[in-house]
Order: sequence, then C-alpha cells, then structure tokens
Amino acid sequence: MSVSASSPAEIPAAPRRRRRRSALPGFGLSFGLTAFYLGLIILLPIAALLLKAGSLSPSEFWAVISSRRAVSTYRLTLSSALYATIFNALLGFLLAWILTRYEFRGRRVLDALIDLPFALPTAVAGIALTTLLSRNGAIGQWLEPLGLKIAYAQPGIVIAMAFTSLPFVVRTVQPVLEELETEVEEAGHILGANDWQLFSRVIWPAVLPAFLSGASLAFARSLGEFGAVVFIAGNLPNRTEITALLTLIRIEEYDYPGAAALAAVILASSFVMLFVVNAIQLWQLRYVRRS
Amino acid sequence: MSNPHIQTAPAGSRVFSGPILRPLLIGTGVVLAAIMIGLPVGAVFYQGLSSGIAAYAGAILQPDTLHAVWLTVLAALVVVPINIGFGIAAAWAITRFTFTGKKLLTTLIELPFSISPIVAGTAYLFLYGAQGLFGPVLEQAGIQIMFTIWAIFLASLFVTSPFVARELITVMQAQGSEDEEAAVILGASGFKMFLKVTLPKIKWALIYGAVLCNARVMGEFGAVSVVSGSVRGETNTLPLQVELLFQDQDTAGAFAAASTLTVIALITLLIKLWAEGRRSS
Amino acid sequence: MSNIQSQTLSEDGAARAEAAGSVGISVRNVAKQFGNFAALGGVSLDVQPGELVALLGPSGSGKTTLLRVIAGLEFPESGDVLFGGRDALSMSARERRVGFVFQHYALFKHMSVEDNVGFGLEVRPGGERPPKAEIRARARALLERVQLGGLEKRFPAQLSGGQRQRVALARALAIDPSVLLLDEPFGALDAKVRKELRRWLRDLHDELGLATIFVTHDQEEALELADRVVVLNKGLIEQDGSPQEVYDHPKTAFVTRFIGDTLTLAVTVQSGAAEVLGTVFPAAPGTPDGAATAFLRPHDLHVHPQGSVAGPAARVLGITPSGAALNVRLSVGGVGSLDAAISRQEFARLALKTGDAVTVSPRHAFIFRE
Repeated sequence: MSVSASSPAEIPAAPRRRRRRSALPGFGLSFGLTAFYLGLIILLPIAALLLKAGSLSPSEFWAVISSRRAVSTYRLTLSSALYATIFNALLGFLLAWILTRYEFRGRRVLDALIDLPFALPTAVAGIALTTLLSRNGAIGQWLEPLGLKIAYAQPGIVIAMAFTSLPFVVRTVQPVLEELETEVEEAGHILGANDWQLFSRVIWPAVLPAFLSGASLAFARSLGEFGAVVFIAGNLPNRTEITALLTLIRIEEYDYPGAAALAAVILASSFVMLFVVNAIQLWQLRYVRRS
Repeated sequence: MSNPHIQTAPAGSRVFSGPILRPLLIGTGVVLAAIMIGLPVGAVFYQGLSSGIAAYAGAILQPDTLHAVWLTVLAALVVVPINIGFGIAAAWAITRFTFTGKKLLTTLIELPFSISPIVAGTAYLFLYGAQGLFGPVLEQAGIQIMFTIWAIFLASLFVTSPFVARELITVMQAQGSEDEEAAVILGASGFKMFLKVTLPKIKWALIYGAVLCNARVMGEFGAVSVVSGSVRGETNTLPLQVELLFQDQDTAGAFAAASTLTVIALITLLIKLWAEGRRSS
Repeated sequence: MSNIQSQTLSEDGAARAEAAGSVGISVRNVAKQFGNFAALGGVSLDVQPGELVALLGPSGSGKTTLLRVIAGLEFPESGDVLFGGRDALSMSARERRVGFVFQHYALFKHMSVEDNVGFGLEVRPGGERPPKAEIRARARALLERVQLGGLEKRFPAQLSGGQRQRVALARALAIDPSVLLLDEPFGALDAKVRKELRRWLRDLHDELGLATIFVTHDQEEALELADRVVVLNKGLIEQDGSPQEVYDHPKTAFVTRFIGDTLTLAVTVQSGAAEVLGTVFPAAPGTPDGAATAFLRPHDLHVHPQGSVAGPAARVLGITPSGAALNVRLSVGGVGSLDAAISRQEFARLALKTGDAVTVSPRHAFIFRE
C-alpha cells in the first residue's frame, strides 16, 4: 500500500490532453446560442435605439425631452403610476393575505383569477375598461353625475394601470407569507403579544422586502403600460397623454429623432427601476439570510 | 409569475383571524377583486353578445378579423417554439455551469420584462426601418422587414423571450445537477441525458412557461403597434384589429374579436393551474 | 473498534480482483481550487485493484472533491489521475466507466427501479447496446443481488432510504465499472440501517473484487470497513494507512483527535520526550523542545489501587456505563478531570466506588506540537 511514490513506468506518454472545465456537456452550445440570441434580438435593437437617440446633439436632445408637452407626459405617467402602485400595494397585500391565511369557498378560483390581468391582452383590457367607465358605461353612468370623470381623464389612466399591474404585488408577497411558520405566531401569542404587535413586529418586517419588490415591479410595469391605457386616456396633449403615446405620435409624424429621444427617456426609467428592484432583492438576501 | 402554494394552516391562533376581522378582510378582498378583474371580463362578453349571437358570429367571421386571428396564431406558432429553444439553452448555460458574467447574463435575459413594449417596437424600427441602422443595407438588398409579418415576429420574440427562460432557470436551479451528473457517469451522451433525464424533470415548468409566453404573444399590442404598420387585412394582429374596430365605433365587432382573445386568456389560466399543480408535486 | 479483516489483500482477493476486470487508481499531486478556496492542495494516493479504501475527514476536508475528481465530475487545476495506467483526465466522466453512488442517490424519480438500474445499458450507443430483454434481465439479476428482488416496478419515492441506496448501487454496477466510488453511502440513513448496510457492503465488495473508494466523516465506519484509511484535512492527506496503523500509530495531532476518543494534556517536550502523568513517552519525530500536547486514549489511562504503582493521585468522581466498558470520571491531581475507559473485569477487580482515591498511570501517549 504505497503512498506517494511516483513510478515513471506507470505514467504513459500522454497524448495531447483536453482539459475540460466541467462534467456536464453542452456549455459551448448553450452559452453560444444564448449569447447569439440575446445579441440579435435584444441588444442589437436597443443599441440601434441608443444610436439614433445619440444622433441628436445634446441641445437638440434636451429640447425634445424638456418640451412642455413631453414634461406634462412625464408628470402624468409618473403620478398615475404612483397612484396605481399605492392602490395595488394595498389591495395586492390584502389579496395575498386572504389567499394564504384563510380558507374560504372560491379561494382557488380567486387565486387563479389574480393572474388574469397578466394573461389578458392589454388592448382587451383597454376597451373593456373604457366601455365600463365612460359616461354611459355600466359604472361610469353612476359616477359621472357625481362629478367624477373617470374615462378620458387621469383616474381612468390610474385604474387601467392598476388593472394590469395587480398581479405583481400579490405574487411577490404570497410566497413569503406562505413560508411564515404558524409556530412563530403561536409562540408570540404565548409570550403575550397581541395581534397588532405580532403583525407589526414579526410579520411585516419579514414581508417588507418582497412587498417593496412587488411594488417596484408594479410601478415599472405601469410606467411602460400602453395598450390598456391608451384607450381610456383620452390622449389630449398636455392633459391626458402618456409618454409612450407621445413617442408613437412622434413616429407617426416621422419625427424619428424626437421619438428616439423620448424612447430613450422611457428606457432610462426602465433601467432605473431595474436597478431599484435588484437593490431591494440584494437587501432581501442580506436580511433573510437564506441559502 | 405565480407560484405553487401549499394548503393554508387552519385558522385560530394566527394573527387577525378573529370572527369579525376574518370575514371582513375576505369579503373586502373578494369584492374588490371581483370588481377589478371580474367586471372587465364580464363587460367583454356582455358587449360582444349585446347585439345577439348572429351579429357576434358575423363579426368574428369578417375576413379582416379572420385574417387577424390567423396572423396572431401564426405569430404564436413561430415565436413560442423559438423562445422555448432559447429558454432551454439559457437555463442550461446558467444553471449547470459556473462562469464569469453569469449575473450579467441573467439580467439581460430578464431585461424585456422591464422594458416598455413601445420602446421595444421603436428600437426595432430604428434597426430595420428605412431610417434605421440596417435600413440602407436592406433597401439595397431589396428586403423589407419593417411593416411586414417578420417585424411582428421579431418584436414579439423580444417581448416574450424571458417567459420560458425564467421558469426553467428557477426550476433547474432548484433541482440541482446531480441527476444529470449521474446520467453522464452512467454513460449517457449529452443528447440522451437531456432527453431522458432533464426533459422529464422540467416538463411542467416548460409547459407553464410556454403557455404564458403564448398568451403574451397573442396579446401583444404596444410593440406590434409600432412595427406592423397596421395595414387592415394584412399586417393586423388580433389586438390591433380590436383597436381598429373600436376606433371605427364598431363596438360589437371590437368586442367580438376581444372575446376570442379573452377566451384564450381564460384557457391559458386553466392550463396554468393544471401545469402548476403538476409542477409542484 | 476492531478490524478483523486482514490488512493486506489475500491471494484470493487479488485473483478475484483480476477476474473482475478491476484496475487500480493512481492520484498524483492533484490540486483543485474553487474560486479562492483551495479544496485540494496537492494530494497523492494509490488504490490497488480490489482494495477498499476510505477517504475520511471532516466536512470541508476535500474528500468529496477528491472523489469527484476521480469520477470526472470535477477537473483539477494540476495533477494526474490514472486508471490502470491510463490517463483518466483526458477522458470525460462518461468515458471513464466508473461506478458512482451519490450521497443522496440521485435516482431518476420518473423512472421505475428497473429502468433506473438499466439506464446505463439503455444509453449505450447503438452498436454496444444489448437488446431490451437482456437489459431487463441484467437489471433484475442485479436487484436480486442487492436483495431488492421483486421491487423492479416500484418508483424511488415508494422505497425506504436503505432500499434507495441499494438501487443506486445496483445502477452503478450495471455498467460493469472498473472502479467503484461511493460518496457518504450511509450518510442519509438512520443508525440501525447504517450498521446493517455496512456489513453488507463489505461482503458485496469482497464478492465483486473492484477497487472501491468511499467517502465518510464517520471514523468508526472507516475503521470497520476499509482495507486502508486515508485521513484528509483542509485539502491535504494527513495519513494513509491501515485502520490499525491509523488508530495505533497516528502521525499527526489531527489524526489522533479525529480517530477515536482522546484525552488531552499540556506537556513540555525536552530532547524529544515528555512526561505525561508520571511516565515519560517519546514525542512524534521532529517535535521541537517546548510546549506540546499529549493525547491519550481513554482505555490507555490505567487505574490502580492507591499507591500500588508510581503515578499521580486521583479521585473517582463518577462511574457510568459505556457499551461493553465503563466510563470512570477521575479528578487527577494538578490536571483536572479525565475520563478513563475500564473493562468490566478490571472494574470488578478494583471494586471502585465514587469518591475512592486511586493512582493513575498512562500506558501510552501520543505527543505532538500543535
């Protein structure tokens, strides 16, 4: 039972050895395909867009994106997305709560329905909401006389945004709520805490990162939403026009550099939101410390 | 987007499960959800059928609308398989190997989720359109991509690329590579290993992702608005056709077309439920 | 602990090994990094055809990494691995024809037991693949051999842990491997099943005659089963020898501590020896003068009636049963409390009770500078 004597006779004249890096096959193929596809389908168009936007001189660029009309679209889109997200954050949390913690008839149905805004084409949502909320629509006819104009005004935009981004908060909060152990709450009760204390000190902190994550995703989605919003918005320049629509109008007017500049602004906001969501998720990892 | 979930624990010692609070919360949630989600869906069918079944059928069978249906289905038939292929390749590369830049790759794969469809369409316009990066080259070669069905395919590929990839990455990450390592040690080639060991394990996640991808392709509006040119009877997908009819004040027609899409969405949800159940077992 | 197996391969064993097509394994200076972490730092090892070798060490010692390098699941930064003289590193895991049993078995959950076992034969390229009927027959024969006959149609989820382990083994053996590698084969099982399967595995190995390496963190298991034990720590081999060697003649403090129970005492080395509880013992070769640690096995701390031999005085603090022996806790003057292991006969002869005054003397001590 020798230990480490190396006997030259044992090692044959080795043929040119292929040093592999991994046991499983297919790295070259899968990575290559992925990189090729991403480059062709995703990166190339975005690069083209940025190039087009870059073809404007800085002052031209600034003129386009700071025009009165453009700025009013920013204000409208941002504020609507904010209202919609706040509404969805509350409703979404409520729905996640009742879906994970209570048994009731139709719970499974409700759970499946949550994904409907995700599966339904945005244009369909758009026309349906418009028809419901306009002056002679099923709901609008009750609200209009009260002075609440919904369709063709900002409230309509907010509702359309809320509709399409509803699933985000629910679906990010749900798994976290599910993983909370019953025993933790039972222990808390035994130690003398009341419901509100348990919620605010134990449950809420655990859920917070996921909640913020979902809210950020909802916000990002609302910022970019087009199909559902464009029917109900009314699209009056400087009043009820979202940035995405202005971009499209610029294209139809053949003002390509202008369109590119606006699209670049929307793209930049997407990147900012992407960064925010990632930062929250990193925070969540540190906070939760799960492997 | 949704997750498999376990049965809830029985109520009682949990927070906010008192006899008043519980029904209040449930009731509020259900009512609000019914209003927010149920009403629009109901409105679609109500409006579509408001002029009677005959008018409904007639609206759907309009040649332009039928063509739009065909175009939408075609787009799905082209885009979904390609994105399944991409999803498998991406998930395999990311979950089975270590390499620098993995985080970057993952971020790139998820990028389309964060980008507005209008931006996607505009980007393609500036790539293949007459005034785009490849515009002059394509014109010289006599090829037109923009405002044809090819542009619709490409823009749809962009918008729906993450769906399958993300589901597969999640699942394959959780499953680990031990089974595949075992297969390789037992002598399986890469192809056989994938077919006999990997594929059966990811089957449901694959179906789930494909179904979501399909729903999104069929419903895509923003990106396709920019690149299709919206030529009636030629490059109108069903969502664009819905827009067209609605703007023409042909409400019954618009909602008839919309109802087809809604039915597809509902079927998508059913398949999703079914696949989800199998995926978590 | 005792290893009644012969320490060397008998002629019988060697002949069986040859008949089995078993080859030897040579590992030369293998080093493996994971990022900044050095999992293996230049490790060399030889396994003869038909030998059963245990890779023993705590978690993070590199034992599983070494096994995976041999299997082809990891590729080292430097070093060589040879199977019967052939360069294994130029072969993929697929080409090496090793039998590998994963710690958690990695059974294909969507396939029946029979299909799992036959998998290695099913995936052979066209020309080499046996007909379906033969595959099924061989799978069944193997299942009989691992005492799972009749369970062919079951699925892994329907089997117990011990049964799954045997399916994994049968599956690995189905491809007629030249070498068998087992990663913590009993790690996931409960104690009683573990003991039964240990014996069974040794018998199976003797029957098969394949060079076998198994990874474990359980020193009892290694000492009981293996022909040779290789102790690893932090990516390096601390000692490589027979179970007897490793237990009775540990070469480093780590090996002494890891194999078997130890009592530790601080001592001072002078000219290569130190006094431990009144008796002088040689220190490990090369130990410099100065502070060092002495290790005693509990059964090497002998207890005598007070004053009957030279040695420090002690008082009995407590007596508890410990398997076939008795654990006697002693308070030793100037040192503190030490646990001695005493056989029942010895205990009866001494007629010890708690509170008795006794004299202790060590029979043997290992001295290392840590």
